[in-house]
Amino acid sequence: MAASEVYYMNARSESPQTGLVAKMLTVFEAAGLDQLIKPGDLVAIKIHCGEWNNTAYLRPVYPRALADRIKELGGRPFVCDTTTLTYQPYASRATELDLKMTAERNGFSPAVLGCPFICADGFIGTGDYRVDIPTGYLLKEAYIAQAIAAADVLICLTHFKGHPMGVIGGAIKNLGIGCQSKRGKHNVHLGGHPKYSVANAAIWHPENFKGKASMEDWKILEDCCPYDLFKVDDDAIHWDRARCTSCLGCIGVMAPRGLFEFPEENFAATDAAIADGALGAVTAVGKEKCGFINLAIDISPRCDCVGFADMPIVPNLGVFASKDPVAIDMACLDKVRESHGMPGSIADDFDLLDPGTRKFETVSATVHGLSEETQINTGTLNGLGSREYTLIDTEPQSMKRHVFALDQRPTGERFRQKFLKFTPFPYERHDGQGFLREQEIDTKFVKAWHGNGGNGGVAGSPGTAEGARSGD
Amino acid sequence: MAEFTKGLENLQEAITACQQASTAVATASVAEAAQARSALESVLASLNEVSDKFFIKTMMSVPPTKACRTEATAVAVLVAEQKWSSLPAAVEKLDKATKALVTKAKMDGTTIT
Repeated sequence: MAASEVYYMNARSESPQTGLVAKMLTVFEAAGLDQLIKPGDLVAIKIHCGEWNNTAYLRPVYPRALADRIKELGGRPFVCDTTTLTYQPYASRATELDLKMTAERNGFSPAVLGCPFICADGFIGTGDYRVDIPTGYLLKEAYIAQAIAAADVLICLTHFKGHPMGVIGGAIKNLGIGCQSKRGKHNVHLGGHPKYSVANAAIWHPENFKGKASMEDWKILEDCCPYDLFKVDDDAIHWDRARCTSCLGCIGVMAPRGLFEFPEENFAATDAAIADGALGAVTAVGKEKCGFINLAIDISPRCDCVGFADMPIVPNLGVFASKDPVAIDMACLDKVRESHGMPGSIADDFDLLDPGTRKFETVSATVHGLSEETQINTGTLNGLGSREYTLIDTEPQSMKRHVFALDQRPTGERFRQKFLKFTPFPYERHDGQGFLREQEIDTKFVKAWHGNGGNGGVAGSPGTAEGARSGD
Repeated sequence: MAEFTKGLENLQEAITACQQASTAVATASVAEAAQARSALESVLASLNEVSDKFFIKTMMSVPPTKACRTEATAVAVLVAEQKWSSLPAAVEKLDKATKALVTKAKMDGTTIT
């Protein structure tokens, strides 16, 4: 497959046109994604709205700015995310209601976005569109969230970061998990698969359950499963293994208690299936109608789907756009590898501060042995895209395109009459000086470093600069 | 799953350092060493107990095991150099790091997918 074009701008900013929002819009146009949109088109902007209390997800201003631009192009944008599998006992996005409440708490509301925020796969997550994927490497069908499959254009606006299961969370994962309905996620996580499902990949150790009396929180063993497949007696635990769906709600409960041996095969195969799911999403919308923007900023080691955010493992790297989800993820991954690790982050804990290291598979994967290239390799095998890419440095647009959009007249013109009518500065007071103030202060003293006693307090007597200086 | 993990490596180094310190304080006669004996035994028991937990096989175990390794090494160095006056504070740090590891090894609320 030929090299794909990936348009790139770094993360440095020193002017309105080099801010990250401006850069996102600049690469959007440079990559020709604006050309995908025709007047009247329904345009799905697929984001990750972030789990409850996650703080690394993309700020809502990015989809807002993109939605505004799409409206200028005549499109009808909506921002969307999908319901999740439960994944853990305290999931915050597993139904439409929970998803929308979490999304709103994280800032994704119609008022902020300037367009609707939609749960794309319905209240429980069964609103979907089935699509055949004959070239899929593992999956041969996919179930795509209905609102995404129904869109005329799909723009995946992705926060590029690490992921405990997928190892990387980029455009492929935004498609391969994020655009699947809940039913589709069961497919990608290989529920019911004869080899790779949790039921078949995990080694079950019921003998490690020593009875209710020895496990104070035994109830969670039953309550972690939304399909009610675990039953706990006084002295034994039972698992209706044949009906396990690989929803993964139990893994974090069973493995730490020694009841599961970790199903690494499920994780590794799921990473491949993610790329097939991605192919399904692109097939459902139409390959020529999909565009991808990756923001490689706040690059947390784990996904926005966890209820916290660890500090970034590398500095902010920049903004990318492409029509190829494989190429754009490869470009981001290469940039992360080229980068220094962030001191004080988990990359530091792993001694991964030097450039050239494969950081995600070391610090992000739940266990060692997963690869940060599985999604990319599978996406190449199944025809989703190319890992070969040409990185195109993109020049900033004119400043005028990125200043305050609602009124672009200079402030003198905008406010002159209003400031005459409601004068903020009290010219009539203190001989025209306006306010009561000292005539002079010791700026040299307040700029100096005076040390402290370890609690942030400035040494010396409180009250005056002279007092502090003399110690009086 | 790969058997070797950084978390396990850190933990083993912490246990080794702790054992060295424990052996040395057992024969020392100063008061600080005597005080450290039971604390180090307790720490060693806790470190050994978490060593076969699933948590130690995950990358999430790396930061807390690294903290234990660092503090255990500091204790071992102080004992080897017989800097007894600094020992109580160092043992307290090691105990705190060990308790944090034991708590994290329970993986309450952890999402591993």
